[in-house]
Amino acid sequence: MNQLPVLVLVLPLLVAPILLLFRDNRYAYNMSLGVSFLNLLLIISLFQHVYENGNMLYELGSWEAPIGIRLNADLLSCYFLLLMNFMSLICLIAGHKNVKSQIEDDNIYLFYIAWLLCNVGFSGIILTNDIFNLFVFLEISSLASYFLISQGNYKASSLAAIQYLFIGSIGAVFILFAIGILYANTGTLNMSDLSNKIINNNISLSMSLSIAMFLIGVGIKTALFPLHGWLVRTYTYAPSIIVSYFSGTSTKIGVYILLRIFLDVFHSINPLEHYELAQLILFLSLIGVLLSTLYAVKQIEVKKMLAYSSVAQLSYIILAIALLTPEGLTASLVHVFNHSIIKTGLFLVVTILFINNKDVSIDDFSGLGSKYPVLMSAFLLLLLGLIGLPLTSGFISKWYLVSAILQSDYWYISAIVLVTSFMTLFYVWLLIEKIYFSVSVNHDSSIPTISQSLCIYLLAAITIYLGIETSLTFGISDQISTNFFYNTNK
Amino acid sequence: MNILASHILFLSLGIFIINFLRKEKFIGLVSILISLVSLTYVLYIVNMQDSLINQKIDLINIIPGIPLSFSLDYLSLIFLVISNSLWLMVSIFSEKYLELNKYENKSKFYIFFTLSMLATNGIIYSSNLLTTFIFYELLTIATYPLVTFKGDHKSIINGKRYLYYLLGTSIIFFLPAIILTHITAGTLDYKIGGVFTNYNNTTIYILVILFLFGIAKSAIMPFHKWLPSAMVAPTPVSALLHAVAVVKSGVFILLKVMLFIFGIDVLTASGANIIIILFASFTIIASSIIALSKDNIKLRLAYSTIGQLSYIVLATAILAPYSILAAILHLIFHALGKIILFLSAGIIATQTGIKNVSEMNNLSSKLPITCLLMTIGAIIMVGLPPTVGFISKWYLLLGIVESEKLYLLFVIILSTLLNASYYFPMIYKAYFEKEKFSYKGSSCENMILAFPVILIGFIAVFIFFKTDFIVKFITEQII
Repeated sequence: MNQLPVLVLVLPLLVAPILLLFRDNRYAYNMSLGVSFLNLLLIISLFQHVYENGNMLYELGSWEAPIGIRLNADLLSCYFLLLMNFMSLICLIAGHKNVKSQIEDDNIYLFYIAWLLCNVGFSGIILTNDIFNLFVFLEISSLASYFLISQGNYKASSLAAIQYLFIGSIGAVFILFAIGILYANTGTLNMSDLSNKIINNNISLSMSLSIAMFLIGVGIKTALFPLHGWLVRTYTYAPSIIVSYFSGTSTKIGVYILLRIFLDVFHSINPLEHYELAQLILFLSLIGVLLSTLYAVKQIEVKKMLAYSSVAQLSYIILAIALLTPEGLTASLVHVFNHSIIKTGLFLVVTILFINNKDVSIDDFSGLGSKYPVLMSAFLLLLLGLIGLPLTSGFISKWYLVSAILQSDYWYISAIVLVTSFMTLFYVWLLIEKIYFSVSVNHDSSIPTISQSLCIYLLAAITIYLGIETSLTFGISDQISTNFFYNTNK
Repeated sequence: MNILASHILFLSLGIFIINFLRKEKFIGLVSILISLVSLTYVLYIVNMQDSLINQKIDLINIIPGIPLSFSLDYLSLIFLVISNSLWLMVSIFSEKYLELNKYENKSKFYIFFTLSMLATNGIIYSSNLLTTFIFYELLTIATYPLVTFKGDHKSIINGKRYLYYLLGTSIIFFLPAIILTHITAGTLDYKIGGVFTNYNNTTIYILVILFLFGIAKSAIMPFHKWLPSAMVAPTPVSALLHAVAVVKSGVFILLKVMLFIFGIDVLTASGANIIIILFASFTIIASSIIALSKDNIKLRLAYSTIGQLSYIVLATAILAPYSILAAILHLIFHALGKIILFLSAGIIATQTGIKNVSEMNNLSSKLPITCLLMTIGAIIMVGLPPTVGFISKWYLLLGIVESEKLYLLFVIILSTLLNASYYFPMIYKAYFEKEKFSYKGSSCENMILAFPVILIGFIAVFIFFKTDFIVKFITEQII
């Protein structure tokens, strides 16, 4: 039982080089699937253990922290870990057909290896208790994602990948500098240790610099306005299956890092409040919500539309955190989960229906309601979830978000949030009208396999389930934010 | 198993049955049967009322502390009986109507019609605002396919407006109103006397405005445009849903919010009911003036509905016992009168192809029964004796005098004159003006189509002599 945290990382790290030796596409797929499934089981049992017994620490090589590297699985980590690995597994299953047809044959096994490594990177970021280690895992996932994105069959794919690499590296460099300054000031890299030592430290200029650098680095990762350009380009030109996978994971990692650094490591000086950074972030995310919603309404290309929608939804998440109240944190955590499920589901539908399309325009959805009635009902449910209608998980998110805003000092921004949330209806309805009211029927769409459809049904079912039964999302989030805000000796 | 929950469950089962039998010819009969069983449920509930009133049943906990839950009070009981009995009449009407107008895809019609009634009954049964909100949104979604049922360009445009207005107002105003209520009062349950114990007037004012705009199904101006848009739907939809179920749900929720969320005392103390009175009065006058200018029969009826709904809202907002009585009476009587008018308009359009008032010349020679029914409906709407419309107007006037808001007399008198001046020309034309056009279609009464309307007409006339029973029930149980 004690080995669980490290197993989650070691298993895929061991399998990846083996796959490299075999160079067999089918074998690579089956192994990745197996490892992901096993990992998910491990994580569920880890989650259960942490939920019942509290934090689980693992000292790598039995070197005690702060000298050795320590893994720390608390509720926050488990919550994100579960989400990431579930999304990875679903996308692996649903994307198999796409990978076969979109990726060059010679590269498929490499593609799956990169996928595994990317996921290890994410899991590592979430699990590690060592801040330099976090940077290392961040780099692992970034390099792997770079390869994944470059495999898209667009002319602009390589460009998008390079851009992702550049911007990602700039973000990483900022984070690296910030870590360096922290180390110079405190002499430690262990997060728990850091958070203890920062109390005694007066806030020096260099410390402020470190905080600013963290903010920029994380801002790039979470596509915080105005650092969101890369996200839209990546989501448009990457292989669509990778977009589905990233929409639920990559940006959410940024949110995790933000929470870990600013609320955990720096919790004693609370930089968001201290420097009035919260107001800045609030302001930026509001502009982000407004602009990206407006852009989303204007798009005719579905992937771009969904990408802008993602920027808007991420801005809601960041905005809720910047309220600096326990209710805000709860709301943002709830929305992280709900939005990942919904958006991945939406992207997956686009992915599996339009394998051969480069651009998926709204017109491509013409008349699909009569062609794939069941699949489109699931798609409709996901879209309704995105609008946030009752009995879908989107409603739960919206309820807690608006509730948190109204209870905070910034109650007046609820107007912007509500209006933009209504505007979601504009672009969602464009799709729904095409699907159900178009006279012509698009015959070019590809027929989904059973396993692909099942993945969509599962995500739609989860969207409904999380709209009715909220003990997983709200229950856990509430507990996490209570820990952060009221239990200072955590 | 709780009877309320099982009623809702039965209706969802009904939807599956219709979907299962969607290819069959007798699908209309199945739908009639479902509405009949639903009415039986309601009668059983009426019979058992003493043991059911104020019994809460919690189904699932959606937000901690706010479950999806059902209960029944006397106000709900009245609306329940009205909507379900009229549903039976309209489903008898629809069966023939859809056949005569050669609509395809009847099963889709019945599925969403039943779903709309499920949502309406859900609104009636809900015991807290969250449950209400869920069914309120469901009702919007369920009626959308009916509004766009014809599938042509015009209905898609109108359907979009319908959806944007109703969903938009509910997201931008209604939802934050509910959340703010939850934050301020700590509960969302309907409670006699209201839920606010500690409050400041600003919050009450904000909440009143949010609720007034948010519950746009009550069609208070400026958020009324969706109702004329909804008139592109087939007539049974306009009749039952957009004269009774949907709009009355809006008014019903507004009534419940005023009485059981704010409470009479809080509204009087803060003076926030003045806001409602102003908006409602404006809507009454403005909608009547717009109705005058509309030639299309259904549009004229729609604007009339907007005005009549505001009567109910105004009567409630006056907060005097007599006026609340008038509000509840008008909720019943307007439903009866307006459904007669809409169904008659449907008969006229089906049998003669006439859709505009200006073409109605000498219609009474072709369709004597329909024209008679239409006359009854019009007199109810204007509020003249010997019809029930007079009763509710009478109590409204009493309420105004009782509350000493005498300037409102002016609103009532003006609107009555306006009502008369857009209803009576229709009647006059039908009976006394010379024929100008030759009519299309069979141009004679179809008794199967007319039967349910005649039945409602009888009820509407009969009820005038039994109003003392209803008044007694309302004064004893609700006020």
